[in-house]
Amino acid sequence: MKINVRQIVVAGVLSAIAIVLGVTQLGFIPVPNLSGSATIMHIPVILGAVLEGPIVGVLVGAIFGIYSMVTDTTGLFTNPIVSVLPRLLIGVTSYYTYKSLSGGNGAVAAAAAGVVGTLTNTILVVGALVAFGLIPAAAIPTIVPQALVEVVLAAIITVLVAQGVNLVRSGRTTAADTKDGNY
Amino acid sequence: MSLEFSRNVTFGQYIDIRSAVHNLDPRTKMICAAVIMACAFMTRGLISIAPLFALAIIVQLATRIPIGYTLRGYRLLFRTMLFFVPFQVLFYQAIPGVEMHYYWRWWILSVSYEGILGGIFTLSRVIVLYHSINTLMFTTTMMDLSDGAEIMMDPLKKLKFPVNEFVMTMTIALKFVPLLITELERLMRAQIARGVRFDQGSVIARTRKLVPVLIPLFVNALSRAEILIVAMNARCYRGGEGRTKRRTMHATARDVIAGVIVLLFGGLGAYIGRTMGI
Repeated sequence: MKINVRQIVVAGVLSAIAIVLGVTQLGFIPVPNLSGSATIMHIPVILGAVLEGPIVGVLVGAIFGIYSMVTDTTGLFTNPIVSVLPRLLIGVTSYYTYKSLSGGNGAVAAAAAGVVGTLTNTILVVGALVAFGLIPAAAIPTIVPQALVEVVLAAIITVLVAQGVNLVRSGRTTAADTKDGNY
Repeated sequence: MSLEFSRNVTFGQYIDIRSAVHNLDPRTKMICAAVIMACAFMTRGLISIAPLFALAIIVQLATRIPIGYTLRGYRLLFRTMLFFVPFQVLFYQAIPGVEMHYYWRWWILSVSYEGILGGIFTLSRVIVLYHSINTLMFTTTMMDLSDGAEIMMDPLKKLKFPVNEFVMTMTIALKFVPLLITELERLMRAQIARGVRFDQGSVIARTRKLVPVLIPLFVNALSRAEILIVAMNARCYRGGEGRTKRRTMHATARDVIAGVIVLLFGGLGAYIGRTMGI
């Protein structure tokens, strides 16, 4: 597999955003259920896949997975099959969703990628947790509200950020407008 | 809501002082951190976690990093634990055959002596885990960390896994974390100055407040990425193939001693946890 400089750097920067959302707790939005929060930490993975293709998506997913494995405080995510493997697949599924729909409306394709990527994350992580007996199958209904919130958040944020980045990249707004200090 | 991320988030920082731990081979430190984490997950109670906790204190003293600085990094962690630990105490499940000492009981909720011990155990395990990773980051430069990781992942090269590229991605990610935290802080201050309250409102309201922070964060991060791409291409970066290292790593007697100490304490904790379950 050949990975070029662009893919390495973009994947690195997006992984950094995922880590930042984690360490600052900004990526966790309070939801009234057992785990207490819905996450948006996986959104950089989806964006990597949407903006730069599946390799970047998988790389960001790998680093996000490793980060959640090493900083795990609950003991649920120490198994890489729970923490890393599902995150690798987020990039793949969201990329192919985006690609198959990108002929039409870009916003719809990005939203669909956000939904599919989030569902990949939730279903595979929860599935692996149940399969390894780390949480009882009866706990699944309590995760549903959190999953719904995550899907909605991912759909909204993926579209907005992807459009924002594409707008800046298209050059219709000059780079000077987004330089430091001029937010 | 406090906005001092860069003061409180110590994740991934290197502290440039001289100490016994700083001088160890990065590979030793990585293996030791992995051993500590593995042993911590084999502990079952306060007695088995005690040797690991003692080890964490010894390591902390050996690094000569001010204890206040280390604790500062725990602030955000403690905020989550403040929610998680009481939850665990209240829902503590009685182990069959163990007599419970209840202080208070209602429906499935209870406060028991065993539950409180369980809560303290969880908290100390989290501290041990967090401390091992943090100390590794505090005492190892990014260069050493990535060189060490590359050597340890060497066998994967046989499987055509792009080790160098992956390690480079990880290095860039860690390098960008403090930078992006500063940036995030500035963006949030800008929003706060406009009257936005990030800690209020429903899920939807909170998300709407986050969007004007997230978009510039991504856009700026990606434009920084463009600059880095040009810089790396200009220096003819082309992955790990045929690349040589200026510095080579050598393990010394110090590394053996450090490894033995970690194995002794970690092994003791894991052994007590595995055999006695306490």
